[in-house]
Amino acid sequence: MPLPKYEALFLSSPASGEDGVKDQDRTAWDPQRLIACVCDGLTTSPYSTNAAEHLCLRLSEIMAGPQHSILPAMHTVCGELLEMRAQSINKPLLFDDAVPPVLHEMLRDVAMRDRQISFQSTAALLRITETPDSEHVARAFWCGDTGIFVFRHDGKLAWSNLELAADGKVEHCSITHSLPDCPDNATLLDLAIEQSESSAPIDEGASFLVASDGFYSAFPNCYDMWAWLNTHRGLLCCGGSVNEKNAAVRALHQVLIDSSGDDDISFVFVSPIKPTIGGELSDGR
Amino acid sequence: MDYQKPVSRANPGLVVFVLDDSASMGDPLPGTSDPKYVWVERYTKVLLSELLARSQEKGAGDTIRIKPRYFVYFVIYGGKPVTSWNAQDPHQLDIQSVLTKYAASNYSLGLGGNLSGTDARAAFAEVRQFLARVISQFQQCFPPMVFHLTDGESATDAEDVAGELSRLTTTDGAPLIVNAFLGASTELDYAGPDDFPGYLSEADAGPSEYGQRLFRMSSVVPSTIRANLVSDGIFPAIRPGARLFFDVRTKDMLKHTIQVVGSQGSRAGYMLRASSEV
Repeated sequence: MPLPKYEALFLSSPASGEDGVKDQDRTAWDPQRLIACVCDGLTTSPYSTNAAEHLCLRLSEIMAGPQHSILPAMHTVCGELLEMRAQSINKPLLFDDAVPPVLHEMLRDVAMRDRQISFQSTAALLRITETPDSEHVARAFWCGDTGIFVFRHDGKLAWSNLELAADGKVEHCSITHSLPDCPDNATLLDLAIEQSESSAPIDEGASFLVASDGFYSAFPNCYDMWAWLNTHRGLLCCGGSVNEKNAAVRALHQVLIDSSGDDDISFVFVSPIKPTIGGELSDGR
Repeated sequence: MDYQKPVSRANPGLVVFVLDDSASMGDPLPGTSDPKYVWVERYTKVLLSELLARSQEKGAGDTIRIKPRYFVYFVIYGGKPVTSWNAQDPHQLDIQSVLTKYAASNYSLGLGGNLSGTDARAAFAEVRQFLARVISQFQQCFPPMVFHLTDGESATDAEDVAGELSRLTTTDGAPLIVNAFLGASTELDYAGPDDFPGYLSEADAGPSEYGQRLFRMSSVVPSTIRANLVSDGIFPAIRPGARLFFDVRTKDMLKHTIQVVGSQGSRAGYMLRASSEV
């Protein structure tokens, strides 16, 4: 039996920061190969946006390749990030004229320490594919706290890479792979390669969500999140005005602002196209 | 909404250090050959460097610039409080101004165990006076953190004065009082920062009456601070409801206790960087 047709709703909405937008999330959706990717650059890591961008592009390509080549290719990407880090360490430091020269030494220490942990990003990838014996599976790779959620047709959670409370709440403190375990000389991607691979058969009617912590933190639990996605899919995809779309996303940002502070909100929500919608594969923003 | 505000340039964090510099601070820290004040200076430098790191940003062309997110005030005390280290103008207490002076002073607060007597009450009275003067400027901010570090019994009782600080609130709560008791011996059983569970009861903080008094003076850890301490690996085992009271038996414990200062604020955008070893 062939794979069902899927469509994706994907969104990336930067948080407002003190000096403009944060914008450290990157998303990708490959409608042909059914690959979804969300990368979230670490705020404390310099050049993390560059890392998120690089990972999103490269990992999506890698996921599209044959299964046996994925892990070696991920090691290669890891090496690329480490090379970028090495280059950043050697870059000269420039100080704003307003910084007193007496602080240059202290700032140099801080900057060099930071550059040692530069180019860090989370990454979460999902590919819906077929095994050689025609089984439909979802294959996932991830590192850090970017979430992957697989929902059954009725909205019940089938699987997630995150540890969830019984009520479906994503607890930040109970994430499967905690960031402090990451050794200083490694990128977070190392953890993904070594620890975080999973694949599972797909139930009929299942839908898939890859989401940054900014998105899932805006909901009390994953069930409300699924309901929101389904309620707003039409509006965000094609049915709503720009103002309505902005208002819907702004409401999520407001939830974050009212709790622990604003964050970038990104997700790729992949769901099977219902027969009544039509047979063509589509995607939407 | 208590203790939920993030620390930001618009709503900076305020830290008041209350440091005992009485003669006994010149004695070696247990397990080391260096005097206690030397260790306090070292770890304070690490902490100030961290606050600076959180206040630096990249400007045009990758230039490094400073946008202060922290204000810092020092009360150094023996028989009486000394505040001469601080600028007279409260606006000059931002991390850039403080560190400019600090760097020009060879990265030293001038501690030396040089002051005679120990009058914690007078030191906290100075804190009360200072906070009363400036708290209106921090109304929308995460509440100030008062970090008191001492190695011995004060000749005076600061408990009621410390209690009065709770009236000097911001919209996000009352000031947090942290007490670090160097060289204390308590009933609590733990090996080090990794398994430090925090003090829930006065009995655990005994048998020293002074330790118990410091426990009573200390604020209960807010959930945001506790989450930060756990996620940063500073005190990963600290229990909900523990007081911000720390007995410091080793230099490692001292380092982690001073890092509590950096746990201010909700963490939407910041995480404590790995501190450099000393």
